Amino acid sequence: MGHHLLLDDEGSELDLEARLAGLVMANRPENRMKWARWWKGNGGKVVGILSPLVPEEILYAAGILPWRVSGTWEGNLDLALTHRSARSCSFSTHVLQAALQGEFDFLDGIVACDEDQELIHLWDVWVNSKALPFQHLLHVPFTESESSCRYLTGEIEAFKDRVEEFSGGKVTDDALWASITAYNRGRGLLKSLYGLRKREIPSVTGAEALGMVLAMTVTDRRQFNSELEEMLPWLESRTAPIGKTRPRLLISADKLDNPAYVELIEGLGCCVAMDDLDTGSRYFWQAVDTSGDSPLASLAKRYLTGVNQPRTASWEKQVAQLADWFTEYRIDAILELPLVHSIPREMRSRLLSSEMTRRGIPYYKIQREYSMSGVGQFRTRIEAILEALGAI
Amino acid sequence: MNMFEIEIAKNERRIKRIEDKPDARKLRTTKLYYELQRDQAKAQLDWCQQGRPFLAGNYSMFQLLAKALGVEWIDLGLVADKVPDVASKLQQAHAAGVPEHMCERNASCIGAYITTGLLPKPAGIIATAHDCLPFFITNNALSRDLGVPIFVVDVPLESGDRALEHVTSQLSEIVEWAERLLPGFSYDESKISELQEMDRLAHGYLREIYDFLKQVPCPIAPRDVFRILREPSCQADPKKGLSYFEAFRDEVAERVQSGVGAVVEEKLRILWAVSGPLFADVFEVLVERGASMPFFANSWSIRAYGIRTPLQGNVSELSPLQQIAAWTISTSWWGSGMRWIEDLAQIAKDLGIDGIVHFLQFGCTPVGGLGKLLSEKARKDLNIPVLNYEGGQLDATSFDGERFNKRLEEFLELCLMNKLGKPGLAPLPRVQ
Repeated sequence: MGHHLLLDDEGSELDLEARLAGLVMANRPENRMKWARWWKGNGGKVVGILSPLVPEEILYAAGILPWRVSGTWEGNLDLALTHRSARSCSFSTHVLQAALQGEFDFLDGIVACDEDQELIHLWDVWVNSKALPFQHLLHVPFTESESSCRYLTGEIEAFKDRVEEFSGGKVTDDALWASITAYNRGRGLLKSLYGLRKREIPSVTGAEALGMVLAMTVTDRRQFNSELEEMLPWLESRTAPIGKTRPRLLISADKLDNPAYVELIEGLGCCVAMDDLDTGSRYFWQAVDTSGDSPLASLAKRYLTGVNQPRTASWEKQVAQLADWFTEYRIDAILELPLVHSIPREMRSRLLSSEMTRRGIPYYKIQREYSMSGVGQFRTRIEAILEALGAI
Repeated sequence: MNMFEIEIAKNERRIKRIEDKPDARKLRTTKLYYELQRDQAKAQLDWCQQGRPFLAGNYSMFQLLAKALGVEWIDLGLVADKVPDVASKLQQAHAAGVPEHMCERNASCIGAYITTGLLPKPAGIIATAHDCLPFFITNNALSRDLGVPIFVVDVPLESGDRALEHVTSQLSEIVEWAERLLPGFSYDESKISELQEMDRLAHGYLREIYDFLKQVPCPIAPRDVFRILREPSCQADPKKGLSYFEAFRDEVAERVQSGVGAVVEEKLRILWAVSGPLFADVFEVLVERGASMPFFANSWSIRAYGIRTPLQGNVSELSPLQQIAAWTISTSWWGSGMRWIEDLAQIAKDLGIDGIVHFLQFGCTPVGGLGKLLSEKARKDLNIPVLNYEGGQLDATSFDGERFNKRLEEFLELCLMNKLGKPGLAPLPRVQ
């Protein structure tokens, strides 16, 4: 794809605003497969990733493009609902719909982890319905003990062995460290970007920030890094086109991969100054520690302790992180947006709510569908919250 | 009354009913079953009244650790099914933020603890995600609600030496954790060995019973299939518990010998899986149509009856903690759902099953999403239909028993037509 990640239709460089817009829209359905197809067109393999707990660096080190799977954003779920209950995780249902519709037939494989049983059974139906050259299911422990870290190191090694078989080449330690370096570089760049959100008028809107993180998940890491590295100096002087700088919200959710949700919230008169999203900050916040001898052990440590999904036992740590960001990003309120039918998130909400109350941090919760349906009701509820915060 | 008192009273009523009106058509061992349930509740009540500590958790095998420490165990999975006035407990749970789409068993557990005095607060909770993730999440939430420490056992997807080492090392850590938590109580591993030996014998009896269940007509009534005791190690008097399994085996053997079937003119054999429908009298529907139900499959029965043996090879050569670990890793409900589907197909083949009822309570994640794969497997490998149904399990108001019975009748008709070789299986029933 050349030096720049984004080119216009004639192959010329775009101006920086256009390049930013291009990144923000990277995960839209009409765009998200672009880079994957380019990668394949150049003889490479692309493997779909179903969870932020999957150590993508392993695939990248083998020359495979890890590509984050999003579900269909459409409402028609007829194929998926022949397998799944309407009362089950809507992310998994939307992904299955897309898979059964053939949207992911270009993938050379998929990798999931046992984030929850819904995802495992999505994986079951997918691999039993489609012939995939490569599929792998990893166990990521629910606890952060030394034993869990050792176990996950072994799991990642087993994953690496399978990737080697599939790719036909050895994944050396050097290749792994190089991959980790590339991933860490991207993480660091995004962290710098997120640092610009601490300002009274951030450099990027919440929707733009989410869009950029999502762009990283569907593009080549090194190219994305170059792109963001070039854009950062310009972003430092940019002010985001937001209508209102207050109240400042931190949104917390899982599988929120449509920036239009955030755009809708900000459009009603607020600033989404920070996020706790597994498609946002949690995807990149913690780097892999490169001081150790074993890249596999370092990866294990990072994926075990750094992604903080509600399915694990470490609820207190997750809640404390939100409280820290509340202060650091000068947040006025935390808005939790649990996906309908997400049990870990909903059950953790009880602790989050009581803890935020104890700390005197305004906290609100609105359930959302995976696709943007029921927008009217969602909008009304956001307006009510903003009114309560004195914004309107 | 607390839950132990309620359980004692309930089981004593049942025992009295049997004593007052014995019925030769029913299993004699049912009385012993109720006595053991009553005895277990009495032991727990006694313990509670003495102010002694409990450990609690969602996986029954961890009870062995409690016994080795000399403390009583609250099995939160069993609590969930026995909560009195469950509709109000569910309401309380939902009002406290438990999502309504969550499985009723989890919500009832939390509701039970919201109600003051129904259950004693445990000193600690031992939880695991591997059987049912929502139950692990419930345990996590309960520990915060009650302000008690929790120890989470992480269980991998696959078996093997690494998995065994990982789980066993955590079980050793539980011992240290519990001894710190419970001053004056110390771990005696010999208690585990003794109990595991009794459990092995009980499993042996269950395996014999499984072989008897292959006989036509099926010697056990559908109602009795749901009424199977947990292992001797879960009983207040493990030896008496073991005697139940032996007596049960003997009784089933007797019936097979005499050709007694639980259903008059058995025409069909149905495998029931996942959950029992507590608010529909399916047993009458089955019996009226000559359908026996030789087996109720869930993650416990598959393990206990030996359909799924520990994936570790010869378990008796392992240490007591390793044995617990090996069994824990082997459950059907973690990892790929194909494991569960293969298990059901195996049972269906073993027992000459004509149809499978895959009954999930709303929000069941261990086997949710697998219905169509199961139906496809059953049709392809066994040429039998599957009824996939979702319904309420604990709250009568959330379940339309009449509607379910109608579906069941239609399904039984379909099974019979299929068995008689009538052309074509009807289109697969959709998940409700």
